[in-house]
Amino acid sequence: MAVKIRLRRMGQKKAPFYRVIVADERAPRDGRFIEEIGIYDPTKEPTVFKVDEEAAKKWLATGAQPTETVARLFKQAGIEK
Amino acid sequence: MDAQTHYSSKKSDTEEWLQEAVTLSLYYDFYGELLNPRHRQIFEDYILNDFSLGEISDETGLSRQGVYDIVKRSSRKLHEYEEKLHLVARFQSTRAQVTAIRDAADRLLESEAAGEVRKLADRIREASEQVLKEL
Repeated sequence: MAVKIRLRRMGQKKAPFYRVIVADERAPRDGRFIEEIGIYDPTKEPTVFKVDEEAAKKWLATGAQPTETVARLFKQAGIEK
Repeated sequence: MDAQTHYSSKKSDTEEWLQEAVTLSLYYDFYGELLNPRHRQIFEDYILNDFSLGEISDETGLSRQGVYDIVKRSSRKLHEYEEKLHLVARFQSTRAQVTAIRDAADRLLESEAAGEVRKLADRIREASEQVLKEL
């Protein structure tokens, strides 16, 4: 089954906060994921984007598919396969 | 700028899309209940859970265009609610102002302030915290 790297909104209501997660393509929306490899926090000034580069590269190398958004965030952070 | 222009940026312009997604997710926290329940899941999947139109289309059996239209219509509605009710703008402004009040009280408490001043600063801090929690 394909593995995806997505940006998922977490956190309380009215406090947007995102995690970069690795999950099965068909994993339930709010449920299990395989690994959390980063965060995106737009409530901070400036916005915080932190990602575990090694984990990201490892997942990309094993064929995990980043979503369009994640792919671009990775690119901005200088993370390529 | 109207919602439609906003939305045409789509996911291909990350910076703009993320900004719009964050804004929309905040609007959704306030007004989401007002959307059509069937549309809510699709909106959540696209905007909050970062699924693609294709993935949502596969899962729901709707066409990609159909999914996109629902996301766009829901986004436009959320923008309209905010334009009329300003709940999010008011929330953000209140939070910023009360945070400033709390921080000022904190500075007083860190200073040499004693006696009645200290007690009042404590009270202000407590009340600000309470407001922030209940916002």
